[in-house]
Formats: sequence, structure tokens, C-alpha cells
Amino acid sequence: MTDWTLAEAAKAVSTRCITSRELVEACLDLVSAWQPVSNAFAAVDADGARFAADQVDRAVAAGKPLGRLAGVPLAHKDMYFRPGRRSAMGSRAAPPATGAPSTVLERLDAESAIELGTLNMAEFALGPTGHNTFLGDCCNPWNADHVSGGSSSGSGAAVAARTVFGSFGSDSGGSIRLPASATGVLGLKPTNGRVSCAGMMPLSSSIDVPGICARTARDVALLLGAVAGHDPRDAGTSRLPLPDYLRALESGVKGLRIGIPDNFFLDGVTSDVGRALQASLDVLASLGAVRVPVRIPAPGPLCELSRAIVYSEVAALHATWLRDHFQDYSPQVRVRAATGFAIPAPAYLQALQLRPVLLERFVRDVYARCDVLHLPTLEIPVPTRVETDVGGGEGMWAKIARMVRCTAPFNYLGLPALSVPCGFTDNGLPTSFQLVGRPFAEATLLGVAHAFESATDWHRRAPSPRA
Amino acid sequence: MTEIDADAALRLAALQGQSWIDEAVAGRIAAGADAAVAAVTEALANEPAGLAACSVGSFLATLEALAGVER
Repeated sequence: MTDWTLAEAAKAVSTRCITSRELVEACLDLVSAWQPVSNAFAAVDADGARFAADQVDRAVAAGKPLGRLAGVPLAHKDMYFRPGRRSAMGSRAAPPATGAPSTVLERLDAESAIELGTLNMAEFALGPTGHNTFLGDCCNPWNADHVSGGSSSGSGAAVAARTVFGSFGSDSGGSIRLPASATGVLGLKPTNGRVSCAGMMPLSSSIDVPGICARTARDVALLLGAVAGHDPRDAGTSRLPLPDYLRALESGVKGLRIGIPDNFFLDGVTSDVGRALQASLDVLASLGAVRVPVRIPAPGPLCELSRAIVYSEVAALHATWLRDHFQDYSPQVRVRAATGFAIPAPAYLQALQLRPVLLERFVRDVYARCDVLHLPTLEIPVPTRVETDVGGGEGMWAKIARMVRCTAPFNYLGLPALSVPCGFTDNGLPTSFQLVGRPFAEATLLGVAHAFESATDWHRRAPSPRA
Repeated sequence: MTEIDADAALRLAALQGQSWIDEAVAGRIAAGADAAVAAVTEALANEPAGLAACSVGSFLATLEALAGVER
């Protein structure tokens, strides 16, 4: 039953084919098997999950109406605040979280989803690999010598290992798409303003979005539908009406124009990643999609423009803690958090002011020619933990920079982006393609992914704890 | 163009109370900051009209205005 999709599990509970308690116990058994291998969980709340599952089962037995996710075990990056629970945020230095409870968690609670525990993450979400000095690294369930991707490292690993049916992380530079790609599951970065950030640990409030990891496009659609929409507690959320994400899955790709960048984004792709990307395009073409080359306007500075904002806002946020508790930060994270102290304020403001200009130009130039962009999520095979760790040698920084080269530009532009598993690289680790759409085009992205899944089985591949 | 070097990073950090930063850390901070500022300079150079017409508060409105019709 842990191989079911989220949609299948939810239906099984609601139709009483299985109890939520049985589902929770099956997931907890898998967590026990996987935790020594992947270290995806920061904390497991078995008693809390059992209690919640029993409540759902009583409600089902009584014929009471329940939410769309009733009884399904999920777990989320340890940065979503819940009253009475300390969110460690992957850190030893984190003070007790205060402020508003997470809207995402509240909306999931309203759908009667179960929370199995909290998930490992990069310290303060500052890192794309999944290393964590304090919690121990999250390891890739396909091969523990390799990174899980980050910073939502536990999200990808837990969903891929079938220990939970879905997970919320965050994405400020690739932090949901990279772990999704590295572990062979789907990862959605929504448009900025589509999902509330209220009650979520801020990294860079101008850039942050909650992100979703799940095993199928339908599962992502279910989770997105449960949490998306305006939130009075987050003034940055849009009042644009929500589409029916589930209905949009059936739209197909016949006549859809798939844009293939002819500059920048394919320049650094390795041959094995390239083969998988090409094969995925062939599948989409066989389903009726049309490939069109697209020139990306001025892509070069986009990654660093994003960093100009992120680093400045991170430094401002962490200034007091760093000043008083720098020794409680790991050395790498200390440097990342402090980089913004050397960025002049006008440069930060200019990066912000350029955003709508560059966004308008990007959308005008790109989406005049295509409906979605198709490009790599990660242009290289998933690297090892050793080669991307402190002491990883000369190539370490370059390798880490390459990890976000295809993801961070879309954080700057605020666009929706979905990572979809599409094969394996020569080192046996998963790889993926990334779809990028116009603002608020999540339904289109999910429709393409759903069509791709109908013709392939990459999304059904699962690692084994005995591997 | 003048780079942000380790010495500048060290002084800027000290001004902001970050006395824990040493020369080695300052060097890494400088590299990151310099790359970010260089990108801003490069992007600005492509905007002959400047930024006078833009405001920080218009980003969500821009996203909403650019939303298309879903299939």
C-alpha cells in the first residue's frame, strides 16, 4: 500500500478499503527501514500520527464528511510552524519559532491529512545538497553516497522512499526541484503569490515559495489544490481565481508548443542527462506536442540577480543571531548567511526593481513562441556527498554552482516550475526535465507531466532500502 | 570596475557588528557579493531607460497581469 499514489491512498481510506491507521503503520515500518539509510526525518511523531489516524477512522466509520486528503500520511520540511512545536529549521542555533501558525499546515489539517513527523533540511534552508552538520546529512535513497539534493532534502528522500505520500518543502533557488530531481519524484515550485508563506520560516521573503514533492502529477495537483489561494495573513498572495488542477490534468499535449532553449540552459548538460531530456521530448512529441526552439533573453545574470536579493535578505534576517551565536552555525552556512553584508543596498534594490522589467521581457519573448519551456532541472548527474562537501577540493564550489544554474533563474522571475522524473544517468541516479510556464500556469505544467506519465513509468520506479 | 575584495567585506561586516568574520571568511563573502553586484551592473547596462518607471511593489501585479489562459 505504500506504493500507492496519494490519490489512491486517499480513495482507499475514504471508501474504507483500508484504515488510515493501517496506512500509518505501514509508513512507520518503512520509516524504520529507511531512516538509518537516508536520514530523511528530523523527528518522527508516531503517537501523534496514530492518534490523528484513529480520529479519521472514527469519522469515516460514522459517515462524517472528510477532506480530500483524509487519513493520508504526509511529512514536511521542518520549517512550517505549528503552535506548541519547536521547528528546528535544520539548525542548532534556531530560537523558538514565534508568530503565525503555518497556513499550509492549517489547510492540510482542514483536509484531514496526517503528519508523520518533520523532515531533514539544509540548515536554515541554505544549501542545495542536503548536507547538515547537526542533523546528519540526508542521503539519496537510490545511493546513500550521493546527495539527496536540498534544501528540502528530506522531502525528496521521504517521498521517493514511499515513507510518505507527499511533502511540502520550500524553493528559493531550487530547493524543492533539486531534491525531487535527485530522488526521482516530482517537485513543484509554484508562482510567487500562489501559495501562502504565512507561518513558514523565511529565507528571503521576496523570493520564497512553499514547494510540493509527490510521486505523480495528480498527487501534486491534489496537494496544490488543498493549499493554494489568497491568504489574508500573507499580503503577497494573489486573489486570482484557482483553476481546477485535477480537471486540467486531462488536457493532453496535442498541439502544445514545447519550447527548447537554444541558449544557456543546455550549454552545460552532460551527455547522459541530455539523452534523457531528448527521450522525454520524443515521448511528448509522440503524444502530439510540437517542439519549437526558443531564444532566452539575457539569461546570464538571472542566477546572480536572484542571489543579490537572497543573500541581502538572509543577512538582514540573520544579522542578530550571527552576531551573537555565529559559533552555532556550521562554517559553510555561516558564510552563505553573511554574504549579504558585503552587497551594497542600492544593488539589492536595483535587483528588486529589475524583476518586473525582466519578467515582462521574458514572458513576452518566450511565451509568444511556446506554451511551456522544457529544460534540465539539474544539468549534471547527481553528485556525491564527498565531492560537494567542505574539503571536496577545487571543483566543489563549481559543482555546487552548477546545481542551481537551471533553477535559480526562475526563482528570480517568480515563474512556476515543475521537475518531472524522466530516467537515470550513467551513475544510476535519477534525472528529470523541468517545465517552466507563464505566471500562474501550474495547471498547464501538471497537464504536461500527467500526459508524460501516461506514456512512461519513471514515476513508478522506487528505491529499495536493501540496495 | 572595482571589485568587492576581502578587505572591503571585512570592513563592511565589522560596521554591521559581525566581528567574528576573519580574512578567510571575508574572502569567500567578497567573491559571492562581487558576483551578485556584477550581475546587477550587467543587467542595468541592458536597460537604457533606467529603473525610474519600476517600483518594488509591482512584482505581484506584474505576475498577475502576465498570467495567461490555462488550457
